[in-house]
Amino acid sequence: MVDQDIHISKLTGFVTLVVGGLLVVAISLGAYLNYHAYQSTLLELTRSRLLLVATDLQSSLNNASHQPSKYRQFLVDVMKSEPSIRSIQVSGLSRATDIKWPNKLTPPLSDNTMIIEAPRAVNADADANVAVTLHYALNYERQLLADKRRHLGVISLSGALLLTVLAWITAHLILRPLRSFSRWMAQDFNAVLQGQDTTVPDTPVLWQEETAYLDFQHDTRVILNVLKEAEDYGLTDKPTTRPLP
Amino acid sequence: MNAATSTLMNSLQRKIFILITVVTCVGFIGISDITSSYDETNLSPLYTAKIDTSTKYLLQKMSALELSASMAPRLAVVFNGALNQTPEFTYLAIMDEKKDLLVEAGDRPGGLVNLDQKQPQQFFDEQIIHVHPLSGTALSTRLRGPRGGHGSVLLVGTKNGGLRGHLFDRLPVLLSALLAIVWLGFEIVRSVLNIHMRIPFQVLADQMARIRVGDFRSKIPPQPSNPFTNMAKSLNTFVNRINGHFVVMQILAGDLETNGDPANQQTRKRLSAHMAQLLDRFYFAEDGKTPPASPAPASAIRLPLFLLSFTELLTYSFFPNFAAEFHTPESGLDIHLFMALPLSLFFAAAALASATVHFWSARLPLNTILIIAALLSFVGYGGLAFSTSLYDLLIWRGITGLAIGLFFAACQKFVLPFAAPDSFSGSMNTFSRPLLAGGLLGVSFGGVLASHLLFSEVVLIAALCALISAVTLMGTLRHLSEIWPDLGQSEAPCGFFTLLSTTRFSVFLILAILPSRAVLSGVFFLLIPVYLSELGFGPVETGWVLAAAALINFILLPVFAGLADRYSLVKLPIFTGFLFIGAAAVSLTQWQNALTVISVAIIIGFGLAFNLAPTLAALPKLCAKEFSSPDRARVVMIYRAVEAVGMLAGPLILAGLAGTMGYGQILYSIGGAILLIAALFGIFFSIFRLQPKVPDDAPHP
Repeated sequence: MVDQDIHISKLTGFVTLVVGGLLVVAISLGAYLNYHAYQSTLLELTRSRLLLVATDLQSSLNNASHQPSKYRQFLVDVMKSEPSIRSIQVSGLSRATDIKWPNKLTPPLSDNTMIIEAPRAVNADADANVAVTLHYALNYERQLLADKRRHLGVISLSGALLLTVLAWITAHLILRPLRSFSRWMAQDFNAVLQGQDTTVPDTPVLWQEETAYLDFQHDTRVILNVLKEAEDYGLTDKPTTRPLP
Repeated sequence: MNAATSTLMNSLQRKIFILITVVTCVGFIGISDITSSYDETNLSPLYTAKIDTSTKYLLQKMSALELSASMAPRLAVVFNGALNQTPEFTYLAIMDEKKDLLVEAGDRPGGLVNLDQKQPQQFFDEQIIHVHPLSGTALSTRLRGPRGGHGSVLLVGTKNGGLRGHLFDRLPVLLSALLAIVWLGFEIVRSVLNIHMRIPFQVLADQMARIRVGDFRSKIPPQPSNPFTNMAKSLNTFVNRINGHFVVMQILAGDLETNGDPANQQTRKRLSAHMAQLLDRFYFAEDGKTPPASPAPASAIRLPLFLLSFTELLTYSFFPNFAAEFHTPESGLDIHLFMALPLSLFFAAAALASATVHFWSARLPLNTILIIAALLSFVGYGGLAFSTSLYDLLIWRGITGLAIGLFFAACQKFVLPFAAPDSFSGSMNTFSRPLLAGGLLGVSFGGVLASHLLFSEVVLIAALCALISAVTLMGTLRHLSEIWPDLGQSEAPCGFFTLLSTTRFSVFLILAILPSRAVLSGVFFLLIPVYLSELGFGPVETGWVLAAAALINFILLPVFAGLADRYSLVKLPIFTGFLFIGAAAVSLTQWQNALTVISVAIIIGFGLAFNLAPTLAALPKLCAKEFSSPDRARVVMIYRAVEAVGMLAGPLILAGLAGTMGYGQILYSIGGAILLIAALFGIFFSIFRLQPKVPDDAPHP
């Protein structure tokens, strides 16, 4: 392989590297934004659902403040419907002390826990104005997020690899005319210098670079002839066939 | 065979641009699309759970109510409350066993027309519908009605693709990020092709052009390997051969001269005559004449310039708010002044750098200055990212200002030799276009990043971009220096401030440059980010507003540059630009919503577009003498330094005003001041021409 072919291969590699790099940035950014959207949607759905649960529980407790015996049942019902709720704290009951459920379990506060507080609203129909706080374990959601990360990683990596290979093939095809042009030009000019016949590219349309070279090639032939004549007729007594340009 | 219509280089570049666009879009959109089905599968249970929970509580609320026509108004109230509380609901209705609608709320799905003839499940092609049989649940026993509630159903309509809406509500953010990446790709590839394909071919084409006119004095210097290496070698061989032939002829003529044989005199005369003709027609390496050097292409610095402009503007959508994070009551400074200080210091340092670049370029090669400036900007942004106090912020911001100012000033010195005075404004587009393009993308992309990351993390990314810019610059200059060994050599120092004693030039700088740049930095870099933030908008929206103004400038800059160069339209656009800015600021003083802010940004951006290119085009007229010599760099550096002074004044003035008046009043004051300046500018330059009249007998430069 000659120098120029090696360089065009390098150029192809360079273009592929740039496209591949951009692809990695684009895919990473797309994956990051997608993950962000997934995470916020997931947590927002969970949060808004739990807020409904908390608000409903608050409403039930407010409306049943005369029946403390029912409190525990309300809490049990909620925990049955939402098994990931670790504990519920209720305060502000008019006829009972604040309660926690489960009694002895204080939920560990960590990143893995979502705390939902039902907004305290003055309800004219209610007998009390309780505050409800739910502690929800995000194990299921964390698992979903971990799965999502894994999924995105696999898709991103395979997508980036596949597209980079395709980009390399396409870049190779795109730069092929440059290879042909530079090879043809060098070979053609060497032929001119050696006084051999030259060829014109067999393409329907010539690029401006090709026509510029062909003009140069024509002028070079003239110059070579002129110099040859100057040398030949200067040293011999043959008459000059044509005046110098 | 047809004549050539386009160039191979442009065609290749265009195809590679298309490749970048397609591949990046496929990758970016593909990742979102492929994972969307995954997302929907995984999130659907949660989405359904949310709807079920909402429905359950809705049923509980309804349990106390009777299912009858008379209760319809109360049920409607409950339904409307549920629609407001649960955004996933779009339609709620109760249908009895005879398929009569007792009550409904929300947007009725299109298919729900002939209730008697269709089953409920079939009605809702356009929406996902959840049908809850009221008689089959424990709750339904409490739903009493004339028909006992048996067979009645609660229809809950949810938006089709509601979950997808949740996942794709950030599509505009994705698209602006995609645009930034694709454009960045264009710039990188343009630079790569420029260095590895266009410049080597240009060198080759220049040599072929020289040979065509018979100039054999120069050869192509040794270059790094490129696609035209073989052709370059062949051309050099050819030039050597021609020169060799001529040398041989010279030797022969010399031999014939010294030989003294009368028989050879005839030949000697003939040879000498031919050689004389050849010397008239051609230039040979041995004739002692200096070959003309082809200039290094100014576009070579496009990518580093673009990257550093991108880097700098990356922080503009949030920088005042970033500065505000360091504000403490103990500092004793007004919050607005606090936010303005780092910005003003940045421009003060940039002004200093512009004013002193002459001094430095006399001592150091321009290449070295460029590299030092790029590396210094990396250090500055790095320090800025780890700032912990106002002092840190000011020091590092000052350093970035110095670096960026020095870099831009040095870039201009690089470009200036190629700028012809009669098309000066257009020629300077080589500098202005990448600057604006980088800024346009930087400001919008910075907003996207800042909405997902900490401000300091975005500044750290800016530091990384500055480093990439420095590395790119070093690579580019190293490559070019192999072809042009004299590239960016030191220059002789020349006086700097003497020009300021020229009245016209000084008045022009004070009236045309200072106010517009003060408005640019004050309004766009301080007032709009702060005000939008107070209105509750994030960096993304701020970035878009700033990008909209930058886009207007990016589009209009070449238009006004062309008008200024071709028709000498300078004073009128500047005056009109001031009128735009002043009128917009005075009339849009009700800063109450985002729409007004956007309108102000766009109109002021439009006004500034009138100002930027014509002020540059005015320089060759104002300083005609300097422009006919290398001293033009001095004029441009003064211009840039005054620009930076205007930009440092803008935030300070606005911060000072913010302490005493509201935003509406500030805008009103700005508008009034600009209109006054427009009047002064109009009066002065209608009396005095930009270019003083040259006496008829004066020699032309």
